[in-house]
Amino acid sequence: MMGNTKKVFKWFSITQYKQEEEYLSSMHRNGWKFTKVVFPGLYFFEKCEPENVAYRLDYNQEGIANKAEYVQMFSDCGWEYLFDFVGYSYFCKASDEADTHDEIFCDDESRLDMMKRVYRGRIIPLVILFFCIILPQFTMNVFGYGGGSIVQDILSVTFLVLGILYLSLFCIFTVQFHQYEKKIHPEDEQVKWKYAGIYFAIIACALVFGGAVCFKFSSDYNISDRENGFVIETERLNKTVVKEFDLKKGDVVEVTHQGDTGSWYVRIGKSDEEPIFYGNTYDEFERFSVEIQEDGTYQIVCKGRNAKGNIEFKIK
Amino acid sequence: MDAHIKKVYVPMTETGFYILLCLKEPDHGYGIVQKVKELTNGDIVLAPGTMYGSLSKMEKDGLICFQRAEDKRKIYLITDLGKEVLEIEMQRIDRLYRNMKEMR
Repeated sequence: MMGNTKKVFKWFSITQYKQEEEYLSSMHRNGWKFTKVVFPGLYFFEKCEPENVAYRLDYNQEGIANKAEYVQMFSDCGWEYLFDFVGYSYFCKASDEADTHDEIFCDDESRLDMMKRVYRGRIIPLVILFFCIILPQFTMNVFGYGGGSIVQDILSVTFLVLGILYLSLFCIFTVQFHQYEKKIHPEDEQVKWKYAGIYFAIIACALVFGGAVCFKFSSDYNISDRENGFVIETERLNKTVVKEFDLKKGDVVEVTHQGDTGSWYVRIGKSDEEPIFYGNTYDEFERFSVEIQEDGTYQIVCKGRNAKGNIEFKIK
Repeated sequence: MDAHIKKVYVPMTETGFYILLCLKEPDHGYGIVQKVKELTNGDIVLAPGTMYGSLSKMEKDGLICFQRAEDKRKIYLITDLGKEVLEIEMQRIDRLYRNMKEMR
């Protein structure tokens, strides 16, 4: 039947189980019963009588491994087991406003234990992935390995976005974790040091990312004017260099390039007219010359992207 | 008793205390929930996530042991180590209670 089911795409991060619980309860209050969820976050609902139903998520891999007795414990306490989804088990229970027993954890200690299980099951694999793949890949992309190609840039940006996402997730989770643990052990020195260490590590990673980005887009170059021309020597060029020359018909601009990595763009022409030469390269232009057909003021535009090497412009 | 047990269970949560107290007799999780409800006139209702997590943690740490299963419910009993921890906790609460009486 039309209109009796509803699909909603919602994304809750690993740490947002509270928001997810509230969302499911509010849907049920509005007459939409939660029926299933599929990867990556498509929630299915079915029309029903509006009711107050508490939804709760537990994360207990041991419970999933011993499903029968795990579910039995919850159903004895009045909770209906729905299903498991990526390590989380979903439970629900009809509740009225006065019902104070609509929590599946009755103390902070056991709630913290659940967060520790999420941490071990979900966050540690992410941390490993972060340190073994994202961080090294990102720095490798930035600091060389033929840098400058479009593919490389896309990879760099992808790893940068992933890295920022990961770091924010770690941050959110650490803050949540810290708040609970502070509540339970307010004066524990060990806890303070542990979190100081974690925050420090997150900041250090952020600095590595930030430093790498600054480095990637910085330039280190030297322009020297020669008789009838100029030379650009670069360690790393991410800028556009523009030089103007008054040229006559019959002059020849000779370009000699010794490249190492990165890409170069060269444009020669009058400032507001079609260029008489335009070219780019990922490795070497080699040597080439452009003959001037018309008197006038010409701009030589040289742009580098992560470029390393020397380029010489000589006018004859 | 090793440092880990001491750190985790001394002092212990109300939930942990009631579990050990009830498991002087073999019982399953829900049995404990009901017993505690009775003992506290319905004030304390232990929640299933807390119960399941605590029981498996205590079993792993050797404070309680699995006896048998009955209708998909695991029946546990306190161990010697569990009794030792409970005794320490009872003395602590005893002292707390005595001091409270004196200072009132």
